[in-house]
Amino acid sequence: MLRKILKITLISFIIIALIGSVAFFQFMYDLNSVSASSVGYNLSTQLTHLIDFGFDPQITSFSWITNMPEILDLFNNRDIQYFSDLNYTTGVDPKMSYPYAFSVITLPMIKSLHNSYDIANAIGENGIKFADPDWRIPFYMATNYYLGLHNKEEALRYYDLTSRTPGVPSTTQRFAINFSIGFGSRDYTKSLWETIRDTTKDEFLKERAQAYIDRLNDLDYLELAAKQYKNIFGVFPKTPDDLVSKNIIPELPKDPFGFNFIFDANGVASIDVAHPPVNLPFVQ
Amino acid sequence: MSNIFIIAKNTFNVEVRDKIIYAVFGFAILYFFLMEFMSQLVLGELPMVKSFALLGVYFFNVIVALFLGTTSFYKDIERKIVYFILSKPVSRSQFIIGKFLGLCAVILFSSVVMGIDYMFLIYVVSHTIDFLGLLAIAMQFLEMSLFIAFAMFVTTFSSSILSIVFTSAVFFIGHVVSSLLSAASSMGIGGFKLILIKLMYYILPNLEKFDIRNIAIHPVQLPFLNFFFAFCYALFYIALLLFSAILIFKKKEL
Amino acid sequence: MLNYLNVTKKYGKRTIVDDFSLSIKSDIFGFLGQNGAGKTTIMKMTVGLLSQSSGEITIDGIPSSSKKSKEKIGFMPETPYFYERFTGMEFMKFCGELFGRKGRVFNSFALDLLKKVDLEKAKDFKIKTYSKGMRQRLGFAQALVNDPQYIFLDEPLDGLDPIGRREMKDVILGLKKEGKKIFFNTHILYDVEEICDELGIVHNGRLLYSGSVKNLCNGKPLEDRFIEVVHNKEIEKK
Repeated sequence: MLRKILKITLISFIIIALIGSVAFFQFMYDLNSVSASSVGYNLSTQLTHLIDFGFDPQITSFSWITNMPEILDLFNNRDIQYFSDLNYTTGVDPKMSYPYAFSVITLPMIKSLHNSYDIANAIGENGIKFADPDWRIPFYMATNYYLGLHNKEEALRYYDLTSRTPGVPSTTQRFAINFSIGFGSRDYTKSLWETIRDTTKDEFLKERAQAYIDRLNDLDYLELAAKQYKNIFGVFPKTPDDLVSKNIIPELPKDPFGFNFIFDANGVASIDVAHPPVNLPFVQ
Repeated sequence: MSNIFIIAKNTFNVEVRDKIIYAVFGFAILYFFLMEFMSQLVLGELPMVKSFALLGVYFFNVIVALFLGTTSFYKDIERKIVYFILSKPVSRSQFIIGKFLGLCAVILFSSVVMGIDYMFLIYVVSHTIDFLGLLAIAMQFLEMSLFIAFAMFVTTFSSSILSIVFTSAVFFIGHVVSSLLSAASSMGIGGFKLILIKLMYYILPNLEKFDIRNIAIHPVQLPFLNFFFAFCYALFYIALLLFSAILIFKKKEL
Repeated sequence: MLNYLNVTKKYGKRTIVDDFSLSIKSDIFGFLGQNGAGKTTIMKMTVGLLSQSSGEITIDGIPSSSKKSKEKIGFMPETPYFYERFTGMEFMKFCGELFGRKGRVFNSFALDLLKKVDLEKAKDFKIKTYSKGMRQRLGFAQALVNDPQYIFLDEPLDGLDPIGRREMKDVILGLKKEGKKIFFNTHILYDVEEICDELGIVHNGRLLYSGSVKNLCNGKPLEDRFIEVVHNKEIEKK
């Protein structure tokens, strides 16, 4: 009888000790853990967090696969599902950087979107705050400030941030460091687009960047032809058509964005923004 | 003592034959091509690729562990194979521990194969080697061991189907219980209800700590001490489950 | 010597084995009884798969379910199931390992056992492919891996064809010559008549008779006497 009582006591003690150890290590684990910071959760991201077994990155990645193409709807002037889905995508796992980076560089391409640069850069700010360090976010933001908003100071700030962000490719870093030197020059802008073209895996962005490069090359080409014209005829051509009619060049280069080229009084070529094309071959 | 090793070795041999080997290598091949495709959908964004890839490894191992944990031990009892074993000088505790270790060995085999597959995939996609991903897979293995111990524990007193249900339920609970606790405290639930939830939190297996996938995907500071705590947690919880299973099994009429 | 002392097994209110007492010194002993009489339960308690509700079972004075006793015991369960994906030889090796027996010496010993039960040809085939008779024979062979002194067989001849039954009985008689003690359960009277030195009649968990076949029969056919004994008990009960 006594033996049985002893046995039961021993077994109970062992079980309680094991449960206690389990609870103890759970407690120590919690003590040593840093709690995740809240990032403006709305109801659906909160619900997702509750039931997704910690698969936040996966849910965000899946969500992004359907989210990313929705940008085409924005281009075609249709609904703004992209933004509400982006809220969810970046809400579930705010650390995924690509959705932010993509938005920063792509949204300003939508001409129908008002304040697209500001919207894009606001998303970029969130990306810098919450996401894993990703050099593309400050880089694209700087590009927006430089090319879109003509804000040299902000562009400088963000190019500087780009050059200090871990993982930045060396060519981009060199480019970003030399920003102040090259500011405003066509060569600098061309190498900016070349950097974007060479570092992105996004085919759409690649084509876009190449289009800008082609346009800049066209402008260089036209200016070279204009100098030749001047050497022969003593004055700069009035329009690019003069170059063709006078057989300096065989035909006019076509702007990838469908705009017309014009000259100013000093033979400097540029885009005729006053007369945008009717049918855009490249969605703006 | 050596009986434990013998049972473990034979359990491994029994389970790994045919079915499981084909399943593991078959999945490894399928996995590689599926993940390659997924990586193209996200334009090769490495954190996203890693998230899918680690999920695939985890998902597969959960299925194998669930299957093994709920059927292997159960079949031994149901088909009276234990008659051969327990009529020999092998104690019931040796049998349970040996069985557990053998099943863990199978999961280890699966984890190693998938780990190599994962490394190869990440290398192909990004030309980098992801050591943290391997660590995440190692932690997943620890979680699966705990899972198997639980499945065996449940099998000692219930049928195969019930044990699948119980074990799956615990899998869900194990991952949800910590969010429940934080949701409860943020919603201001207090008093007795909170104590109840806290009790569940400490007693039910809390599997979130074995999920370091997020660390592999979004590199942050490694909480090194936490690995130690998680490891001890698993060790003691497995001891608790196996000890209880042995107690129940000793009383079981065969 | 195998000894049962006041062994009882109860499941709740049901009594499966009722105050079973018996001392066995003979070489081949048959437990005879109808299906559900409690024979298998008694054997399972003897080899340590079940524990008795009360009473003692000892082999040479030591509890039969102790580790020491188990080293001396071989057990063949009724309708044996195996790890289907093992071959016959692998299963034998596994069983041997549990006694700490392995290596070349044991392997040839195991091979001899398989030869004895006519499974040599099938030793490298997966058990999945075995017929019922082959499984019976493998079950018998594994009971001998530790060269046991005491061998317990539960319905060993079940599912064997006439030639198989003959061969199995010869093996059992051979084991007797080696000085081993064999105990087996059966409900087939003919087998008991043929090879047993003594028999015990089990009915509703009770021992109705134990002793030599001759003494029981007293000139009459075993079948008649068996029915008589059981019938009398039924009448007694009423």
